[in-house]
Amino acid sequence: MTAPDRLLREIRTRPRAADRATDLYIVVLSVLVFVLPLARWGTQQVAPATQWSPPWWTAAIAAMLVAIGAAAAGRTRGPVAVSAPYVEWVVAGSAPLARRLRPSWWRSLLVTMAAVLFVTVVAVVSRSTWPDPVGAVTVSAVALGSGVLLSVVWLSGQARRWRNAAVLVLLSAGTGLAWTGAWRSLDGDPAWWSLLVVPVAVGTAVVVPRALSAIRPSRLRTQAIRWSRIEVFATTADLASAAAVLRAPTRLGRHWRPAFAAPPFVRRDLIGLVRAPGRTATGLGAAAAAGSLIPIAQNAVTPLIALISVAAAYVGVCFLSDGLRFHAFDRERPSAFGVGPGAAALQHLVVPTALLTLVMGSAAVLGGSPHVAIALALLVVACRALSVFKGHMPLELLTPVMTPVGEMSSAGRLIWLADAVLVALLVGGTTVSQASGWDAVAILVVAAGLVAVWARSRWRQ
Amino acid sequence: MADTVETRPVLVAEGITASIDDQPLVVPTDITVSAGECVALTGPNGSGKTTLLRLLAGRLVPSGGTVLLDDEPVDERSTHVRSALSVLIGVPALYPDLTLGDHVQLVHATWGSVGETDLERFGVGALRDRFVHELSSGQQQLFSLALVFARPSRVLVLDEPEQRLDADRKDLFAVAVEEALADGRSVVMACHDHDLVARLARRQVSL
Repeated sequence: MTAPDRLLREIRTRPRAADRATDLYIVVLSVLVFVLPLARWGTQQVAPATQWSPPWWTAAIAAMLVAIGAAAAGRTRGPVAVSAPYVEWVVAGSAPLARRLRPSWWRSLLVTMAAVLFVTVVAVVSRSTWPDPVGAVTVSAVALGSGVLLSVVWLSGQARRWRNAAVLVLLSAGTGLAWTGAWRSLDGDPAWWSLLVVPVAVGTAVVVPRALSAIRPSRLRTQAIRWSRIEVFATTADLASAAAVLRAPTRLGRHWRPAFAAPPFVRRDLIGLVRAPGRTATGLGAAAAAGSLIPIAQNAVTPLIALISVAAAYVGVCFLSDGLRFHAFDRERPSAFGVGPGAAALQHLVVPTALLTLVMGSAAVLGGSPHVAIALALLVVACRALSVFKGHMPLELLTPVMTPVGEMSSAGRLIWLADAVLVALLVGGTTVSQASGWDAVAILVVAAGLVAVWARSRWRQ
Repeated sequence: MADTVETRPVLVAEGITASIDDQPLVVPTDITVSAGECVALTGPNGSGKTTLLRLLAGRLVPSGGTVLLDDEPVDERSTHVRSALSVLIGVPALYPDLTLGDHVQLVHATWGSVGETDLERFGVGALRDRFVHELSSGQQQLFSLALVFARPSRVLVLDEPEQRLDADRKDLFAVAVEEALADGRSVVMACHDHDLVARLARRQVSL
């Protein structure tokens, strides 16, 4: 440990006012109340999938997609995650960058390996049969190797060493093959060649020192400040602002002077969508995925598909309704516009409603459920309006609520925060999976109307 | 001050410019900073002073031109560059749970150096046991300057160091710069205070 790190550790061991027992209590309670039930439910849902034996190329493509995602994530938050003051005063010192950043890299590597291993163990124990011991060891080794490879790809993305990242993504396809073999070995069919993943993954670690040296300290500082802001926004339950921090600043279309006939705020929203093509494509893609899943969800034995469909639709409307969010956020400020705030809000609802109903309805045509998809789109848009019109969190929700099982004010805050999403998931998910045809449409449209009335009352408040 | 100035250039920028797409942030500019010399960047708001300092510090890659430190391109990833440049651009990141004294101790631990009067030099010695959030904005600026001057460096890159300081504190800053120049360190600063520029700067670059 270097002198600055030793000094920071000494300073941090001083007595402090915060009660560590309380922190521990909150963590244990969160795990018991949220993580374990969700993990158990998730395990039951994925159990049928673990019996599925996909062709080798499916696993290879999936592994490559995960690796590409890891490399892309490195641009926003990499495995080297140090605090802004640490970058300012410690990383800025005279020691080589690789040496300064190595401890943070090791921490992320271990956490990633542990996370991959945890997910693997959950999947293995959810199988209907007890795994072969040799197969279990093989799968665990492949999981750990995949964790190493994933971490190195992630680091390459953070260091913006794209050539390295491309090679590692191709190698990841090999881990997909290894996963196929290792998974079959759980049934007693040994696949020793799968263990090749381990030396290959360890071998890729040779690029780590160069990658660490290639990271710009100013980018580390920017990432640290960005995530610190997200943490602050998330703590105050302002998730929209937290997500906005991750948005790339608009740069496209600065010289574009569009002239087309439309109400002013509808035109603003269309211009905004064109100037953020990535967000727009993501929103439309999510809407299309949601629509195409609806016919499958209506025939599936598990409600999981319906819930994924509703979640995708909600993600889609979030990406397509920036104008509505900006307007709701600024409604308390004096406005220079000649349109009243209520009329402006209605205009901001036009584009997301039109796009979501059109895309989801079109995507669901093949499965024969466009009417259900359109009705679900209306419900999701209403829920989005309900969410953005809620304003700031009421202070009374911060008041401690003592119960025999502990302090429960956080549950109230969580419900306030996620009420719109919960309504969409519960009503939308249940209806899509349990009702069919025009029955589902009627329920969804009535629900959308009720949520719209609720959203209007929030707006008036 | 003029007696201590050497003619050997330390930091040389030729035709550096920065732009976003077709929007220029800084017009092409030449700057040469010699050892023991103070160069002041002046100009109205938005003229590109801070962007120019970020280019000189290697925190921004120029769209055109070059910045050389000891004949080597400036890159913040280089140990040589980080050892040579001490930079104060904007509000520095500070630990909310460390006192002012802890921060100074940390800076010296990072560099393996020793310093007893870093805070006193800027008049904040009595605040040694305060946390950063217990400072006024002026005190925070003095503390930031104290940290930047505390670490070993050959070139100090400062963005509006005079902001939020009263006349007496500006004098403390000026004395610190004069001592740095006398030690052979160089200073590049963006500054709106004409008196400070006249007192400290050997050369002035107007944007």
